[in-house]
This record gives sequence, structure tokens and C-alpha cells, in this order.
Amino acid sequence: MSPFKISWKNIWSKPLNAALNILLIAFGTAILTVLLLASTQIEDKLDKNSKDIDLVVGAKGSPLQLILSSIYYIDFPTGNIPMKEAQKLMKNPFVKRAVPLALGDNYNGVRIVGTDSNYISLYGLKTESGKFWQADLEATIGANVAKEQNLKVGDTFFGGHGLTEMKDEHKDHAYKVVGILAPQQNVTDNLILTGIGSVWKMHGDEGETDEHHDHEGETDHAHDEDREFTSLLIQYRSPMAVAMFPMMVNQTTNLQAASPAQESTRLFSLIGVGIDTLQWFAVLIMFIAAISVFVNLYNSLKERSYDLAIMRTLGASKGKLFSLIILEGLILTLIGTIIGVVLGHSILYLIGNYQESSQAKMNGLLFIKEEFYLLVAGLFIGMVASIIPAIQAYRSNISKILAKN
Amino acid sequence: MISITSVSHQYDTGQAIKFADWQVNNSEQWLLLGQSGSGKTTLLHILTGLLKPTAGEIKINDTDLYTLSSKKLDEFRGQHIGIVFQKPHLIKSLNITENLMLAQSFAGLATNKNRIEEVLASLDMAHKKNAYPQELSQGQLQRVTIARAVINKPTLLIADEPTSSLDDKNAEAVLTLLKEQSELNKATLVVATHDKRVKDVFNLTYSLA
Repeated sequence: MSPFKISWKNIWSKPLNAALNILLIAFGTAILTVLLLASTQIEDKLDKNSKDIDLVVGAKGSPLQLILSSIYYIDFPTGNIPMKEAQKLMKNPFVKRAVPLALGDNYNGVRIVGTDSNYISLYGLKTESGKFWQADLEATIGANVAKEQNLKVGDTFFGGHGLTEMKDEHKDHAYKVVGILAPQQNVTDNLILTGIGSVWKMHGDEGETDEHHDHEGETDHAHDEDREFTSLLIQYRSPMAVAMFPMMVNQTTNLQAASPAQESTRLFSLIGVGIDTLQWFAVLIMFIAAISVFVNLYNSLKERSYDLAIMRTLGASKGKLFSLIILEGLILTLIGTIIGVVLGHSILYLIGNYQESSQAKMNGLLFIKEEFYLLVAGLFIGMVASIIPAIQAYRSNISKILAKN
Repeated sequence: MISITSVSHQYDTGQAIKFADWQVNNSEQWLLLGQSGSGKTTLLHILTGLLKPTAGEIKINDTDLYTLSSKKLDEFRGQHIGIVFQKPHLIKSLNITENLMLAQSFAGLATNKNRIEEVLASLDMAHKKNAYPQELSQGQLQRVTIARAVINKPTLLIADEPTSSLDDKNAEAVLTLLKEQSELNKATLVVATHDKRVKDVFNLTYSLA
């Protein structure tokens, strides 16, 4: 009979106790797994989407809002900036590449981004079918958009004003899908890209009669001087620019410069407080689980002292009894941790399925190497919880136990 | 064969007890007689390697028990000594066959299901081999603990008060079983008791004062 089988059978001779222990450990591990996966994925997404963008320039307001709207496409833009001023910055010697963005429209909640070809090289985009937009009103759509909105190359659709709902449709001009992007695993999977001219056209550059122009700063005239961008994504030419350029923008222009790295860190430190709290909560649950395993083993040891003494008379060594008890602790916590990890992934998978914002969608099927540490931690807890009972079993005086009965 | 030479033991309380020398030859059947408190259990524990005496030497098959390491002593006990306790006690989480397999593997021997079937059959318990201890009657449990004591064909089969809680009929049955099994497995039998009913069944007696 293997020690594993002996321990296993003994654990399940008290199914309720075993289940309670496993449940506690599983809950603790599940919470830790969810936190671990979620924070890793959020951090990963934040990094991936702002990978090559050193600075965002937009209208004055909250720098975090500017970053959220121009890089992650989550919040509303801070406002618009005059094209004339933006172009001055784009020609600045510190700037290697500057990508203008014009936001403000959506199609069924998918944001329509007006930009130029620099955007393609900034994100390293490739098309899976069709081509990139060229003429006005041509659109290239992200891989997820094609799937979820059922759009193919050659289809046409109307954009709606605003960022979330299809309230005021721009019925005068239909977009035509000319290409679908290959999946990029970043925010562009969930965007509709078009030329900046298309967005201007929507908002009445030419021939507008009865369209809505109700948001501030939108221009109704076809003149270059009055045209506006929402923001500029900037890549520096040299590291020197990190110190100089944002200061220059903030002090000499009416615009605001925000660094994605700084703002992401700030954002993450805000979320981090919540994550920390939950983490401690999970650690507390794990601690209670450890105590529960300990109490369980310790109590059962009292009942089993005669069992263990009999085992000794049958030839089991002290070391054997020690390992039997440790094994019970390990089996309990290992099952608990494995269930916990699976549970954590399932929870995240469900969250991902019900999540509306496609930009920050969680993936429950992703495994990371840190989960391995959770297993190790689980085994460690099992070891710690069972060590005292195991030592007691090792030390027990069988002659006394047998004589008492 | 078993020999006890100048063995004495001092309890934690300070009380000391001396045991007369004792020679037991192979396949003999002995009665160890003594009132409760006379040191019967102490002697049995010394004899089975469970309790190291303060002084003296115990040899089983020319092995000096207390010169063995703790681990070797446990293994030696598992292979050469079978013990039947007053109250039949089996591991509740394991069925009868598994309880007997446990005795084989704890003794460091390979598990042998044929041997288990054979021993259970000789005790008329083969039909209960997959039952759990709580499904058995007291008498059936007693038989299984005897089966467990002889499963590894021990040199020495020791029974500690096997009859004290049984009526006349069952006491006789258990003694018969013990004698049968020790003969069947060529084991030396030592029955410790204060039960007067047992006296007549044995002709060799070691008495404690």
C-alpha cells in the first residue's frame, strides 16, 4: 500500500472536513489567481498599447483623460487642438514621428479614428485582407470589429456622432470598408481607422446643410487654419526630448503634453490600492485555510493516536508516520490550490465574456508562470500546517498509547 | 526462539520491576500469567520492541532487539512479531484486505493478495474481504486482527488479554483460533492474561508475581 493511498483514504474518511479545507484554500487561491491574471493582463495591455508612443499632445485638461482617450480609447477626449499649432509641433526637430488623431464618431460603439499613414507604421499594422484606407470615406477595420460587427471588405456603414451610441447618424456619407487588419493584440483590433479627411467631411467640411455640429471646437469651414485635430501621438527623435519637449509644449503653447508612461503608472497605482486590499484579503483567507488544515490534522491526530500506534506495531517507522501526516496536508492544499487556479481562470473567463469594453477585455485562458508560484505557495502552506501534527506523530510514545487502552 | 536475560524496568514514577529470565523455544505455546498491575503489559511491550527496558537483553532469533536502530526495530517487529490486542482495532478508512495489505507493506514486504485470501479463508473471513471495519461484528473484528497478526508468518505471535471481554464460548473460540493459527504459521505463541479460564489450555506458564 502506497503512503499516498493511506493518506488519501484517511482524508476522505471525513469528507466534510476535507471539503471545508479544500474550499478555503481554493477560495484564497482563486482570488489570488484572478488578481494575478487581471493585473498582469491590464499592465500588459497598458504597456503594449503605449509601446512606441512617447508623448500625447492634446487640449488642456486632465492628462490622464488625454492618455485614456488617445491611447486606450476609453475616456472622452479633452477637446480639440487647432491644426495650425499642431503642425508647428509636428515639425519640431525633437519629433521623429507625429500622428494626428481625429476622434468623435463611432459605429455601434466602435470608435472611428481619423488619422494618417503614420499611424500604420507607429503600430506596425498589417492588413489581413484588402488594403489600408487612402481616399476619404475609406475605412480599414480591426480584426475584432470585423468579427463582432460582421463587416467585410466592400461593406458600407454609417458613422454616428459621439463615442458610444448611434444617436445622430451621419447619413450623408457612408464609409466603405476597404481592408481588415490582421489581429494585433492591441487596441487597434477594436478600432475603425480612416483618413483624417473623412472625419472632417463627416463634420461638414464640404456641402453640409443640416448636420449637427453641436460640440465645441468643431469647425464648419473648409479652411486649413480652422481645421482641428483631437490629439497628436508623438515619437521622440532623441532621449534628450524627454526633458525638453513636454515642458516646451506646456509652457509655450495652449496645448497640453502627457506622457503615457507616467500616466499609466499613475493609473496603475490608483488601481493598485484596490488590488493590494484584495490581495491581503486573499492572503488572509489562505492563512485561515492553513489554520483550518492544521486544526483538522491536529484534532484527527488525537483520535488517530491509537491508529498510528497500531501502524507502528505493524512495522511502520516514526519517519513513515511523519510523512503520512505531511502527505495529508500536502494533498489537501494541493487539491485546493489546483481547484483555486482553475476557479480563478473560469471567473476571469466569465468576466471577459460579460465585459463590454472590448479594449480591456480579460482572457481567462491565458496561463502565466507566476501561477506556478501559487502552487508552490499552496504546498508550502500544506507543509507548514501539517508539520506540528507530523512532529507529534513522530514523537508519540506508542507503548503509553497502547497501554492506556 | 526467544530469550529474556536479566531484564528490569523502571517506570517514570520511579517504581522498578524485575523480570525472571525466560527461554522460549520455537513453536511452543506459553501462557503469561499475572494480575493487572503486575507488569504484564510492560513485559509484552519490552518483548515486542515497543518499550526499551532500563536493563537487560531480549533476543528473538538471535537478534538482540534493542541494539537495532529505531527504524530497523520497527521493520523487525513488522516481519517477525504479530500482536493481537485486547480490543480489536483496525484502520477505519481502509477495508479488510487493505488493512492486511497495510501490515504487509509496513513490514517492508511485498503485498501478496494470495496470502491475504489464504489467511482470511483459514479464519473463515474470506467473504468479508472487501468490508470496512465498521460493518463487522466484534467477533469478526477479532478474527481479522488475528489474521493481521499472522499475515507475515511471524516467529512470535503475542496476544494481550485476548479473552478478557468475551464470554466463555467466545473466549474458547478465540484461544482455539490463536493456537490453530500459531501452529499453521509455525509461530511461537505467547498469551498474556489474568483470565483463569485460559489456564487449562496451556501447559507452559510464565508467572509474574
